[in-house]
Amino acid sequence: MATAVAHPVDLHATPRQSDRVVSRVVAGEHILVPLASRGVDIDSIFNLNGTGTFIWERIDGFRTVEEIADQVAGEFQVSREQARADCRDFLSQLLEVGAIVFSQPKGQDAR
Amino acid sequence: MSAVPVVNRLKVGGTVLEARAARSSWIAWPRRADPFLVSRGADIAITVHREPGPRPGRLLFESGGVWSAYEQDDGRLLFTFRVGRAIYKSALIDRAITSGAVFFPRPAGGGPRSALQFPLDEMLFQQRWAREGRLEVHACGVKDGKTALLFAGHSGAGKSTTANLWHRSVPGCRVLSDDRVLLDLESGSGVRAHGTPWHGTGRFGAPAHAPLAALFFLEQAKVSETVPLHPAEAAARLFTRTFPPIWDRERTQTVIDACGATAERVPAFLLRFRKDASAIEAARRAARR
Repeated sequence: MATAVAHPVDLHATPRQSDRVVSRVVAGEHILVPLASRGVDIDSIFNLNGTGTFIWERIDGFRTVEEIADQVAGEFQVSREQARADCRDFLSQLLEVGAIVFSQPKGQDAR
Repeated sequence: MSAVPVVNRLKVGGTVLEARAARSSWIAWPRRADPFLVSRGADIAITVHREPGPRPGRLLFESGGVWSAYEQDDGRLLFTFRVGRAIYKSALIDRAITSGAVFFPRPAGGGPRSALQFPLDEMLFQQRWAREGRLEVHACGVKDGKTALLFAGHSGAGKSTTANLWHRSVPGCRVLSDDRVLLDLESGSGVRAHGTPWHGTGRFGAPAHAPLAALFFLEQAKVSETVPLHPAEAAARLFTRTFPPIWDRERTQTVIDACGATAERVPAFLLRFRKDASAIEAARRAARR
């Protein structure tokens, strides 16, 4: 039996936009550019589609991943499970390039 | 050091880099730059010294190639250029990129005589333009009649091939550069393309400019055709072909804003091209739409 691997994005965590990213809306779509301090890191630029833009605009340091995913489910008429999976995958990409940071998940002590 | 310095001035896209030194050989530009030399102006003024530069401060960016950027204690920027671990040249300049000093100690075993060899001169312009929301683009530019077309691509995409095609096939066409083109947002709704002295293997570079009619992103193919790009896609592609100070949030925002505005003003296309006149026709058709 395969062992379940913990997803890097906790549903109860609260993401916020990093100050190491700049963004620009072009003809209704967001472009995200992570800042870099090494030449080898200059290969990440994100063109967000409608769903990506919807999520990005809700990453405000107050909403949890779960709350954002529920709003995605409502807006785009997909199941909550699907919205949560898509949201976590998208946020993990943003996390990897430093475009977002997470606050402590609600209900957990910062130790 | 001589009391009477020699002065050279390079003007690109209306910006003048003035270099002063005790000897002309220290600030000589390659012959390719001759059409860009002028006798007046100093938007960026530097002096060249044959002595070691200051100790680098806080590291801002490491290119992975020859150069790195640092912030000094007094807020100025220091760019260092290395061979191996040894710094052979450095440039200390104010944050507004208006004045500074280049330190170019005499190399023990020979080496370049001029401090202004690539990439220092171009980098100073890049830093200044990034503050002003002007975009230096890794691209070939051609002036076709009264308007310009931009063909952007990374190394090997076909920029010099495109320049040669237009140069050979289109009478009266002027190649602005086959490697670096400056874009300016004009007041109103236009974008202007300027030639630069920094060229590719085709060695094209001209101090000319024209309103930009279309942006193309090059992709070699068996049949020439154009595919329209959404402005957001075009802006992202354009950004990856510019030279932003990617460690600086404010400047990077300025550059991505300029990319977005350019893509909203000028139609952009993917140009799949065959290396013949069909590529020219495809580009002209798209630009006329």
